[in-house]
Amino acid sequence: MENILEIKNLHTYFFSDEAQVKAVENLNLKVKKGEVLALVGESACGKSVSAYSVMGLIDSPGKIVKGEIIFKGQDLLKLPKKKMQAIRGQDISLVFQEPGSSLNPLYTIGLQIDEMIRAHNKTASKEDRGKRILELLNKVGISNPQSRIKDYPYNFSGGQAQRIMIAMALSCEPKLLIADEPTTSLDVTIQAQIMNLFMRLRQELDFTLILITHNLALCSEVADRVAIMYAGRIVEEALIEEIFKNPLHPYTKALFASIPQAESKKARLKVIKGAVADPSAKPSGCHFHPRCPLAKNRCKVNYPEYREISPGHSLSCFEI
Amino acid sequence: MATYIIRRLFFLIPLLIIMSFIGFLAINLAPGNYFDTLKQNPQISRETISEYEAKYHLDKDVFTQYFYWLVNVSKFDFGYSFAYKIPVIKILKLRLFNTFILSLSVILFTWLIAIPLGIYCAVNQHKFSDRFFSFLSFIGLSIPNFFFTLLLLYFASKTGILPSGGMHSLGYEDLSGFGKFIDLSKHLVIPTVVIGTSGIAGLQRLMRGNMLEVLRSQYVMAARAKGLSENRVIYVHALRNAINPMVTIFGGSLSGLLSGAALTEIICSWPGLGSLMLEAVRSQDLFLFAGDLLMTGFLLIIGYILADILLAWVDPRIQYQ
Ligand SMILES: Nc1ncnc2c1ncn2[C@@H]1O[C@H](COP(=O)(O)OP(=O)(O)OP(=O)(O)O)[C@@H](O)[C@H]1O
Ligand SMILES: [Mg+2]
Repeated sequence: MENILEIKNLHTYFFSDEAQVKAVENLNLKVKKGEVLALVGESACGKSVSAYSVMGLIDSPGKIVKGEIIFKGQDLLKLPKKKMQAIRGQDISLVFQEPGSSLNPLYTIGLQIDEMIRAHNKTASKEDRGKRILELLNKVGISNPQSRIKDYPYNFSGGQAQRIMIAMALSCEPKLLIADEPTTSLDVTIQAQIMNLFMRLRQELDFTLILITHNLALCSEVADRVAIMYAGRIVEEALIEEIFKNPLHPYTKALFASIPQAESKKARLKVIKGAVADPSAKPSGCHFHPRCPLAKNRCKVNYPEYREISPGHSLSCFEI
Repeated sequence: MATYIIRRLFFLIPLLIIMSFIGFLAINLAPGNYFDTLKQNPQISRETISEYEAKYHLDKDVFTQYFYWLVNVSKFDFGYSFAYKIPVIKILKLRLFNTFILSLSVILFTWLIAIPLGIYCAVNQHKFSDRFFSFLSFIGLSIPNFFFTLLLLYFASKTGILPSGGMHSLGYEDLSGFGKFIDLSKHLVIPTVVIGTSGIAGLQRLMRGNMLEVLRSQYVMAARAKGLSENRVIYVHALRNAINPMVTIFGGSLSGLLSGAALTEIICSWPGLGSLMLEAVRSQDLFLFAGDLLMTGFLLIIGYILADILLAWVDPRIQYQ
């Protein structure tokens, strides 16, 4: 199938006086048109930074040092600012991690959706935009939208705010939606509702979805394919059934082993032995080697090549 | 909102009472009073002085004096200035107007320069222009007002471009309306620049800091992610949020202006409330002093209430019950 997005060799670093944080390092990822791809990894492994890189939102002290991001046949990193601005929100949309702080507290939600539609569709009349906003709010399940468009973000709960963010992200009918842990900051019942909403909207609107998450259990219900990320790189990638049946990378196995605990407590996936690699001082060789039960000497020296071991199933590990 | 303001004004009364009482106490603790100087004057008879003292209850203790004064003030009678020999209220009105003009001029000067400069520096963070203005700010903050005033006054008197002190030139009364305006403006330059400079530096830094913080916030990133133009992101989304805390500062600066201006008023001989305070203390002109203190305190608090109202107006999250 056709790739809607292809990330090649992406390096995104943050520079400060003390350290150089290699948040994303040599990231390679292909996203197929129409699929739901789950991007899974522990906190600080660079999931959000990857998403921001695709959106062109990396700002000083961050910098995309190297790489290509191919979308619709063009390298987004080579586009002039104006072109990229037109793509943001129109072709690729992002739903942020914390809905509460993603809305500007000083403007009504109506205005905040309206300005986005206006930015991408200069010809839409005020009435058309008004109608569209109501339709969107209805779609994401905000009851009584007519009376709520004049409300400010503080009038909404976290779940409602996330619904509004989703409505906004979909307002220009993007081809690709990146949802960055859209449910992490919400409580469990609301989480399920929001995920159902995503799935329903995908049926209706037919967009490709990159779902960034901590939660492997959640992936099994919604994703077609999974990419596992560790310390700024993809370490394993496979279809969802394959990864559940046959996880190969030691890190993926460790993640699966941690699922029961992760569910019983709402703690994040910190149950794997050892600490997450510090992105400003990553271990040499394979970054996972200090925590890896299979680690040999060569793992400490060289980074294992990313290779396909069966059709659609790739990983980087010497020992498999 | 209206009830909130009324309540705030109501709470203001005990505050003003305490403040003016402390003022009364202080001037009473100082050795001597206005009449001691009069007593040296052989042309004024003992009887006249005693008459005066009795009339204004100055022969009584400080509590009684204060009580009588307070009763009169509640009837908008601020007493009589011994030195000027006219009712205090007349002097206060004029001086209040003068201080108001100077304050207005300083506020316009500082805010119209500091706010755009702060925004500019934040948007161009780490670039040469940002560093340059930050350096200027630093200098502006470090020059003592007193020294700066003298420097400017020296410059003014050497070159004759600007009047060196006062509020009006000789022959002001004969000028046309526009001529009066020009004359007043010229006199305003030095005190405005002096009081304003340190203010600009501080405000510029604050505004820059606020703006930087807001620019890093998630909703600004979200606004960019929506595909809005950079101008809209900065001037519609970030700016509104960065300006908000400045509104509180605005109230505070109104108040700070009144007290901070006193020294400059004195050096530039600007006939405002600040220089009046010094005059009144020097001549131990009790009622003039008390009236001036009350007026200044009143202005301070009005400044804060004004800031509150402004803040409620710009921030939908704030509702006063
Ligand atoms: N603006 C920034 N300045 C400096 N370092 C940053 C910045 N943004 C991210 N980083 C660093 O980049 C690394 C990756 O961060 P990122 O936010 O992508 O993690 P994440 O995988 O999204 O984690 P989480 O699950 O907690 O959201 C982290 O170590 C973080 O400290
Ligand atoms: Mg994140």
